[in-house]
Amino acid sequence: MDAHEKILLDQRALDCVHCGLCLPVCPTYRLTGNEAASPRGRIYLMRAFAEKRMEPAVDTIGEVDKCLVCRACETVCPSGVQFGEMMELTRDLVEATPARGGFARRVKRLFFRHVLPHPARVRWLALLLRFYRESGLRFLLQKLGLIELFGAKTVLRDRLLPAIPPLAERVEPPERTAALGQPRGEVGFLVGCVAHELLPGANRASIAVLAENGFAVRCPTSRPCCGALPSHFGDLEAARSLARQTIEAFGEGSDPVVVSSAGCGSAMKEYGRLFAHDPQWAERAKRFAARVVDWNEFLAAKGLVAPQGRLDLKVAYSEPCHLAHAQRISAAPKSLLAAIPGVTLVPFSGSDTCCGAAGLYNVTQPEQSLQLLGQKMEQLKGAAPDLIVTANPGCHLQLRSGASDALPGVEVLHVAELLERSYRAGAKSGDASGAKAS
Amino acid sequence: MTAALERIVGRAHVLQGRADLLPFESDGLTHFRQQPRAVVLPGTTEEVAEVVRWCVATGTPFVPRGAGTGLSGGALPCATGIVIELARLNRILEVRPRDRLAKVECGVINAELSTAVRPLGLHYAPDPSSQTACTLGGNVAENSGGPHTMKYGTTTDHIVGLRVVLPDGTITELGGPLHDLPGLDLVGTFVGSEGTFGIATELWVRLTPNPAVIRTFLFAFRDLEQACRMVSRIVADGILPAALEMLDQTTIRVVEASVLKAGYPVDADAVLLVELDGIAAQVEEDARKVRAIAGEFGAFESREAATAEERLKLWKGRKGAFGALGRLSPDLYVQDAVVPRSRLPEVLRRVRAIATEENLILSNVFHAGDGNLHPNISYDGRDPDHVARVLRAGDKILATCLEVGGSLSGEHGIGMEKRDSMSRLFSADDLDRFAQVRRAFNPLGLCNPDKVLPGAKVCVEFRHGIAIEGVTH
Repeated sequence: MDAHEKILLDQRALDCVHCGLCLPVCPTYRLTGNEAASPRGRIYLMRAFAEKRMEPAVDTIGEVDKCLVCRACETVCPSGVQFGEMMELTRDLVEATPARGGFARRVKRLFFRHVLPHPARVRWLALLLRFYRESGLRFLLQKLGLIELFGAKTVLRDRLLPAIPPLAERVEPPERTAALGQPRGEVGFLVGCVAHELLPGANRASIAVLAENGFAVRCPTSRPCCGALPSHFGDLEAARSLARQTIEAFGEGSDPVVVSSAGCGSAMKEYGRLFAHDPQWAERAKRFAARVVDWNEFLAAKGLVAPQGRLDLKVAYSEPCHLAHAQRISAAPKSLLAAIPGVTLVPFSGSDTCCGAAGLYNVTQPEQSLQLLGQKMEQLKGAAPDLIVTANPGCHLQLRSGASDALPGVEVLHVAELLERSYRAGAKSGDASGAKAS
Repeated sequence: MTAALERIVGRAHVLQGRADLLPFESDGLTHFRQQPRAVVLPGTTEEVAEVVRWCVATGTPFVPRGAGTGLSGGALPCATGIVIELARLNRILEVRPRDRLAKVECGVINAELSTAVRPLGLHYAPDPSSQTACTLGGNVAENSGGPHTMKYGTTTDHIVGLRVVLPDGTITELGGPLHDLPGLDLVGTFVGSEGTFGIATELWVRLTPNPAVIRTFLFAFRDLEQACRMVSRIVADGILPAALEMLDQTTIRVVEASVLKAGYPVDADAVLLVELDGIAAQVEEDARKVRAIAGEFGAFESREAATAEERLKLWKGRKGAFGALGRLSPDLYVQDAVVPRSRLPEVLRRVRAIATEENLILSNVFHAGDGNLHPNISYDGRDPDHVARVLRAGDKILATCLEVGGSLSGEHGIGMEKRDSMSRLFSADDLDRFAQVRRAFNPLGLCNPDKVLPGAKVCVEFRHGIAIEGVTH
């Protein structure tokens, strides 16, 4: 950790006056009742690290790892504490100490520094996981008890390992998609690394809906990873390197860079901060970050071309933390959904509480992750939706895995996928009525 | 030691790692800090009782704790003892809408009870500013107030029964789901005992019907003293508002700079929030009078919240003000005192002079209707000289309040902070009577030792190495 970052962490921690208003919105505090598992407690610990009252060690970093960084605490903090930033700095600091075991650190570094930057390697990893999941190898390992040999055993055994679509579904989005109807401008679109492999449908729909609304869509062919995962999990150097690739891939310009993954969008809007102490990149990163706009935010602000296809559905919108809390965007996706004829939004308590996905949290802390998912499913059951909608790949996969158990038959979609269905249905019935008229 | 506790509450609910204990060293008052030997998180009344019996058997002091939002150090741990953290006791056990009563566990969050009974047209009236975080058990301990205390009373007016684990580990019931039981009012005695009479694990609370009409007004003044005079006048004219809340210029500006952005005019020296509730005709009549009074006292802006959202925003700004003041400096000293309402203008003038004298940033946000002042001082706890000036100013402010016939605390309690100031308000005889009552409940003195009454030994380290005047250590 650089000296200036330490100072920064120190200053951030000092913003907290210990009022405790963050406690009730913290999912891990609600699970445990433990002050140390609350935002206020974690700030206290981070301040103790920064002031060297306590050193990061194997027995002191537990709550640093158990934080979801859902940033629900930031939304309610009257003092404006930048909790997410503090936690990123702290995790980066912790990674550099002997507190972090060699093996876990090496695996993470390998993934952040040598897999994520290369789309082809991400693809290979996805294929390997698909083979593991579908071939019976998982079943075999489980039977032989060999799974216990791996660190992330719960994930490997469990349903949390996402279904990975076959290669045929993962078609590269075209470099340029033409606008339909009245042209309203051109935008860049982040395809992303993992999202492209695991949820290609959400990307396809995001692009289609933008085109439907008159926007030409440009996707850099290098398909950069934005660096959100390494920045959340303690490797700011890897995050910066990925961020530089991303900034370069989109090039200089003034057209908006639209992001339909909440976690990526949040990280990209914060590039200015990531490079604040890098004189070479600071300005450029700030300029780029100013162009970044969330997909829901963008369409709601521009005004949606009214979708015509009727979908008679009760829809529950589970808010991604990195949209509702990190980006403070809550009304926009709801307004897009409400624009679909026939759709009824069913509110449910805890709709803006973390589902336990939280980036790689379901891999690193599977037990708490499953507890949070269980809560979310209970709350969703109360709302009895026909369909669950969200706007972030991590949440999407997590909710899908939860729903397959708790709400059989209830599909999970990205906001864009539901909108696209309405546009498609509208076009069909439009064609049909058009045919009749002629 | 921990093996026995783990047997009672389960391994996951005993904390003893150094990183786990660290954040328990302070509650909302960070001037004091002391780590406990362990923290125990029981999940039932029976577990609480067993833990307490273990404490008695081993002579271990214990400190009950809710959400740790208290501002007088009431949940400050004892070095040789354990903390009994009650956050897991968070169930609403029973709601009787027709009797307007609810039975809740002590760890239920104040605002969440009101949210839960809202569909029934009811709410829980005492609303401390920390209500979105603080627990009802903590409210019982501190006899918490809040803006609506003006009309609806404090916690003690809303508790009819308690299930209590006494400091010897027996479980007993005080009062019950009936109003005004005969016999000694032990519920009233227990409420406000600041965790020194035992641990209330279940509470029977009154629920209050939501008023038919609520109207909230904002009046902005160029002069804080004029605003205070308006408060006295409202009360003198026989109007009983639901709340009368004041914010001074410093507070207004930090609130407006925060996520709370309530829409207070930043050029005002004071903002007075007046809430009127009841039946429409009465509220209309009162509103007319209040507006006229505001004009008379020179309010330069008078505005009514037009929508429920706007009203909520005005209140969120008021209730989050303490947290928002964190923007000004690393630490905040929140004073709490009561003065006769009619003396508010004079006291505020003197408080401002004290802050100027000590060269400190002062902000005032307070329950004007009750004469309950909260002069807040922003400071940096890492600077010993700064801390010394803050403590001196705090002491002078308290002295001023007592001099005009005020009291030590309106709602934050005595706790550790004002323990040694008790003798400035009460005679040695008074204090001895208090101690006798406490001994009846807590004969061994293991339950939240060293708090409220002066004289006991101190088992606490002062954060800045400087004791508040009069405290021995």
